[in-house]
Amino acid sequence: MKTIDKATEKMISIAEENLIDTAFDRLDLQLPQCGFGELDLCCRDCNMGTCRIDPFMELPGKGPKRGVCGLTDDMMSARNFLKLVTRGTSAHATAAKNVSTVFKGVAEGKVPYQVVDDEKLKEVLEKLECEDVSCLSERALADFSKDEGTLNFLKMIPEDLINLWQKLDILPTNINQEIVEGAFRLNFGVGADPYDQILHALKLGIVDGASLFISSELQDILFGTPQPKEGESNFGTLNKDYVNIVAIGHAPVLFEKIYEATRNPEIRKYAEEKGANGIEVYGMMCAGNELFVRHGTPMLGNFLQQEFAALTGAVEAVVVDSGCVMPALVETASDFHTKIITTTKEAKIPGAEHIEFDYEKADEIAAQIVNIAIDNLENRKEARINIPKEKTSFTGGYSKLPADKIASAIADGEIKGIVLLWGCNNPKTVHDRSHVEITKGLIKNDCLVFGTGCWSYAAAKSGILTEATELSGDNIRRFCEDAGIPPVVHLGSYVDTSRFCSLVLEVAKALEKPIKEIPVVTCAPEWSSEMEVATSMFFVALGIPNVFGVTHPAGVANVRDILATKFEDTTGGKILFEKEPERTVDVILDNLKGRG
Amino acid sequence: MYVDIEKCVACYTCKMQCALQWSDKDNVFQASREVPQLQSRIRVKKVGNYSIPMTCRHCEVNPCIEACPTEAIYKRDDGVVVINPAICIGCQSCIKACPIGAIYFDVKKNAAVKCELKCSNAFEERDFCCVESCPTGALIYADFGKVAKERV
Repeated sequence: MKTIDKATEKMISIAEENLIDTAFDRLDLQLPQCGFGELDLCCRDCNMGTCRIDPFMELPGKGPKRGVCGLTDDMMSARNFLKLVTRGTSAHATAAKNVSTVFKGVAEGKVPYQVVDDEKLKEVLEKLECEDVSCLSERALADFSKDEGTLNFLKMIPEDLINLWQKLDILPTNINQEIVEGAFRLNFGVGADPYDQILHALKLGIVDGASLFISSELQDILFGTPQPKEGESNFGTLNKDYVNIVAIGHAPVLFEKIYEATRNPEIRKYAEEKGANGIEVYGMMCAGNELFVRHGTPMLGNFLQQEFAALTGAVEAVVVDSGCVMPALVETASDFHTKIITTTKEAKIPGAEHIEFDYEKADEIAAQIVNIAIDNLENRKEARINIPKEKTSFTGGYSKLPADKIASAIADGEIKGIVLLWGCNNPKTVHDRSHVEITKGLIKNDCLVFGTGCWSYAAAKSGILTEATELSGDNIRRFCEDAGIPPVVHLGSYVDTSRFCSLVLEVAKALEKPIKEIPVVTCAPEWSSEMEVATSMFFVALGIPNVFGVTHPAGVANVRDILATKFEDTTGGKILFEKEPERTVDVILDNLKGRG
Repeated sequence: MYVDIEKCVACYTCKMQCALQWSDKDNVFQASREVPQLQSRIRVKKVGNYSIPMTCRHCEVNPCIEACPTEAIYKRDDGVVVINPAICIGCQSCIKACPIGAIYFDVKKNAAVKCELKCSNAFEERDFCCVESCPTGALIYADFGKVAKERV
């Protein structure tokens, strides 16, 4: 079984009929994957390598137990782990930098964006002790270049925790500096001590968390704070009489403008002239979450479904920014009329059309992209349209969470704990299954579940977002009726993970306890991207245990031990691993029980 | 079994899969932590500019069997050459006798070990795990005439 989603199953068979390979097929061709790589025992950081360390027994003195430079297995594994965290942090830092730049443009009146949510602006200004937008944009950009003190966007972190981070020497000075240090530590003959490398990964985790806060706070101000709304998910939402544009990627800076363009009467009229009944933007992955929580647009599908958008034969353009975009999109779409349009200078794909996004000309560029899609409608072939029927309704996009009520319910023992489920899909495990089963298992056991990223689609498509109340335990049902939130709460995109962090901070404040004594766990059951590893280090720094599925992000036992035990006494966070979804629920429950 | 030495990139996937066969675990993560450590029965040797995966050929005439003083090495009815570890005294004579160096010494067991075709029961349809796992197709298990014809 490859997936639990019926629409995806249909699209896989359509791909097979058309002799188009998908991520599932490409994984099959990769098998068996190199065990040295899987175990973190492969290092090609310098030109004396490639070095490998033999995990099995060799003739005495002959089996390589060290690299040419003398690197042992745990040193190698820690370096590889730091590599993941550095790269993941750089992704969120870049996203935060981009939003901050746009925000500065708003302050100077140079870009066609404006402050939409005054209430949120006031709230953030107060938090950061700022007077106006231009001060706030300076504070945000200063986090990338400060020479002393710590990040402005760590103001929401309580003082105790900041002091603890200072004591551990993991309080970051500025975002860019720490990422550069991460890269430096991976240089030829620099970082070797596994514990020290992991400690820097923890510092980068904090940088990653601050970046998430910058993105989500500034995006709320520019595009509005999400309100709960009803929506639909899966391929069945595609309307075959419309010009269909699919947005894949992350940042709403571009996609908001594309959404606006599709609502422009002139452009709509142009689409009608070309024979369409209308025009719609469908989001996939984080882009879809961002569009849904603010405008209620259909959420088409998650990471492993991205290739299938073109296969429906009813999509005129796939617009991508950066991150989680498979280069395979171009090859898959080449057989169909769908145009793949890249927009980010860092993320070009050979064979795709590149229209570089420029904030100052955002409106024109968005209109240009939408017009390309409309012009492409005439190339659509009726006979090749194949839209699966499956679609599910759900309610999501929560941003204001009743922290006080949750805190008192935790104190009364009414709910066992709060859990965040997040992260990608991975073809190495059944698509969506772990996300759905773990969610079901947790609500049955009186846990309140929050979710972001590609989890959102798994939850929406399977219907748990609507059926959650029937599936959950009595206590949680009673609590949710009272608090006005469902047992399974959809927060939004990956950067909205910061909303969960804010909730945990507020609950801790209400209970007057450190986070390490609050029953909270996070879990990325189908992770693929290094971004999850980076953010999981933020959870460790906050004092939250994080459970990974599929495979452990570190291959060597010693490094796993450092991640699982070395920070338990200080911050209270740790990284755990469990492959099977059923057992993951037990691991999460055990960890909740041990706290508070 | 034949080796297309131009195709071997020395990735050691065959070695990993072979070691895994001698474990009751089904993944490298658990198998790599087994105590005593597992040993692969295939090695990749560097010869000149080529990498050559070496494993037992289960020869028709067996210098290893002739060299063994305790008759620990013997040929099963199906032609597979195996070692009885209970009788092996660890003298390493077979290791010296093997013309291709396909027998290895396990220090912890004080016995010789070699490929015993554990991954394919009595020449089933299934390919051997080293052959099956090779990502470049450098290892081939087929009739000699067929291989020779294809390679000319």
